[in-house]
Amino acid sequence: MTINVPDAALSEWLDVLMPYQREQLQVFGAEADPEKAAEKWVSTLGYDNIANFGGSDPTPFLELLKAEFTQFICNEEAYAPEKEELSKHGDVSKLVLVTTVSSAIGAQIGIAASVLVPPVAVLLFLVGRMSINAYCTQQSELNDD
Amino acid sequence: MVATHRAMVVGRIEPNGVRMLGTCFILNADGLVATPYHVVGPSDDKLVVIPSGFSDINDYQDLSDNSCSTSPVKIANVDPARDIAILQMSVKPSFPLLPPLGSIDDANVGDQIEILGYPHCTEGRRALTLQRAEIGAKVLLDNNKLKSKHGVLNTQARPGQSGSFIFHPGQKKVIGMLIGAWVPGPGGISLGGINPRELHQTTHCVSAHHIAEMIS
Repeated sequence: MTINVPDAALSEWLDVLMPYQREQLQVFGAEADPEKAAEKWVSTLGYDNIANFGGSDPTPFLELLKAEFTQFICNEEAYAPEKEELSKHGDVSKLVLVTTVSSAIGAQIGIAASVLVPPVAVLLFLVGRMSINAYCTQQSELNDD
Repeated sequence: MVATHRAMVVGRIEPNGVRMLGTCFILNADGLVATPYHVVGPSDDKLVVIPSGFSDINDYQDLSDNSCSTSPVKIANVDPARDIAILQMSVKPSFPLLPPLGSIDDANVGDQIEILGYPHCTEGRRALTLQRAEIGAKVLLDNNKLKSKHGVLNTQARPGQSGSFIFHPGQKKVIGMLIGAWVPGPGGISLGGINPRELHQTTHCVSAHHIAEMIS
């Protein structure tokens, strides 16, 4: 089963985010290179010259997110319950699409959905812009390299 | 009156008990809590908070008592670049009115502030501790062209204190959250788990208005 990802402007996808998330993605250069901006949003952790007290340095999860997102979009059998639920409602809003995909992937890779919302919004923009088939072909070719 | 009920330990449940990760503090009556992102990371699996359990800072805290009550939390929002995480408690607290969030803008360099948190909780010591210090400087930090307002506190902080709230008694506002100590760069050495580069009185706190931006 596949889902419908609308081709919409980046600004429309970023409208589902909180203002501070939108502003940061813009600072990180989302207009010029949205994917790179999303990567910066996920991968930037704090400040170079501040020693973190407590906790532990989070394990990088960007590549895991991208791989699982590709599964969601390109593997017809993956995430069937979520896709079926989405298909029941016809054209769902971008907010519903972003939060559903973020929750589904987050549960799979052990990352809180709210952490994934900004990069997932950008990734869905890219899929909508190039079409699912083109995105999946591109991902397949990247994996073959 | 010191808001002892506001500061809590954030930890993660493990087979042998709760591993304490650092300090967090309650933001509002809806049960939103703030802590640095580096303290909790991107997973909220088995994440909990441990309330202080007492209301008077002058009460003795029995350090031999390892029992605690925990409350589960989920990650509501994160700002990795500014190192802030907002957690949602499943049970809303019923506390007296909390001082509002302010900003480093509300303070002047030289103003005295109060820091409330749990130093050394990452090493098993759970003692809510009040420190007083001064704002030594106001600085802007750059992260991939993203500017963040920080206050520099003239005090030495230690692991476990990340997430402590910074209270300005004159303004009666929470103006920041303790993030960590300035270091000249990566590396250094470790002596008994301590990096000597962190042993100084240049502690950073992120301005509380960056936290307020994350709350809808």
